[in-house]
Amino acid sequence: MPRVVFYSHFARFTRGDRETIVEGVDVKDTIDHLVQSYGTEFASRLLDDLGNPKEFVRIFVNDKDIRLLGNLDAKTAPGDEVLIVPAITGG
Amino acid sequence: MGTRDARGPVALSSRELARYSRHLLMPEVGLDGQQRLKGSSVLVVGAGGLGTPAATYLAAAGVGRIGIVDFDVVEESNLHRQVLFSEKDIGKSKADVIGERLRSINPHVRVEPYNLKLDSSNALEVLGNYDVIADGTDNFPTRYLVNDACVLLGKPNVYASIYRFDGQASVFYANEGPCYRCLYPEPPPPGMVPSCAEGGVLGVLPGIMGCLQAAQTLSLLLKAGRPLIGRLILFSALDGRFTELTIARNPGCPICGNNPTIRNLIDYEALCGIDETRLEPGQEVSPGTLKSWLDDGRSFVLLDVREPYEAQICSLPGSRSIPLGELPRRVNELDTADDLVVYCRSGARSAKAVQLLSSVGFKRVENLTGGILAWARDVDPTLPVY
Repeated sequence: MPRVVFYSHFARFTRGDRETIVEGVDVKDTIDHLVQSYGTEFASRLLDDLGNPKEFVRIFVNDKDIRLLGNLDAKTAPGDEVLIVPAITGG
Repeated sequence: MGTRDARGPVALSSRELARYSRHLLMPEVGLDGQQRLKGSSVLVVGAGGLGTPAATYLAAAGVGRIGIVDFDVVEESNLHRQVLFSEKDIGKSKADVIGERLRSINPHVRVEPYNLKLDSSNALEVLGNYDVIADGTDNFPTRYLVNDACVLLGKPNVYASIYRFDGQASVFYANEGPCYRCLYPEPPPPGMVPSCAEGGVLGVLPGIMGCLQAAQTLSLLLKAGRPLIGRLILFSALDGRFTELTIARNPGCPICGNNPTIRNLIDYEALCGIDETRLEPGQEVSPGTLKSWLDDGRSFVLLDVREPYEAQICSLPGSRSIPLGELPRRVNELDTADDLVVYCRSGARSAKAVQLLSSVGFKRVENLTGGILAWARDVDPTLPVY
């Protein structure tokens, strides 16, 4: 089960959780479990209408952008860290 | 790499040699490196939480020419993090104050303040005068503008951004790695990502991230070490944790990819949807008029679309709270037969709420122009502002 870390304002859509551990053999499976847990508001902040991550949110498995690992098919193993990193712009 | 080309030696005076002696002792800098810094130039975009520490350390380090762009004035709410400014600077031009401070910190550097709003008409000219750009702006249109200008000019963009307790930093340099658009191809819709003015920020966080920008800028200028090209650093002030992530160039990137479609600067306000929230004249109400409506006992719903923690600081009497982010799913709590006046802190979020409410059938909905800040200024100066 991967550990998922929510950065910046994403904790607003996870009932305040900054991290959690969920089931998931790949990123898509992990996201499905997160949506089950956190609901449609969370899903609408993370995914577009086709179920892909929005262009202003990046997902990493361990230290790599999932676009380097097969996108939603990127494998997640127990102990892996999935990071959800939205664009922020404060200065 | 044009901006990292070796420059001719720039002589250092005896006083400069004494000032920079701790740099000169390190082989990664040494006399050659210090002379290189003196012959270099950096533009800091934004004299805010990030820009002020970044510019301060770059000046102290002896970067020969430092430009700083900001059209704002110093406000009281800046002082908990922008420690270059003091109480007596409130109301003064940030660019002018920072110019004066940096010259007093190091009279050997040339400081060039730009009291202007960077946009598509001037960005290439302003950025083109400098070797490295440090982006410390506070809004998405300028982030994309700075990125695109850096790509078109072939310059490195030393990036940082902050939100509450979290910071991000990288070096976007399309000649050698990804650009900002490779990381975030599209900006979020207006209102989806809170700014520091809306969400808050821990005062020390931009100090840490701005210093990281200064360190990366010096690394680039000195050609020492391994700059954060292709790497994104996350910092959590809550957890005391730095995380390093690998990011890659996007071959389909519209500005630095294999077949770029953006060849000139574009309208960045439109890119970020900013111009979509312009309201009709009949959809705005001034604080003075709202006051007279309240005094007359006129019947309407006063809707506060700020976050609950903002309402704890101050609010208008009798208002209902539905944060903007929750409004789409809670709109059925309101009655389309009612008149509505919507407000937020400055009038921007409430303008979006007015648009949203109008689009779903509310006929008489108006925005408090300038938000609760304007109310405090024009009607009730005793109200705390933030």
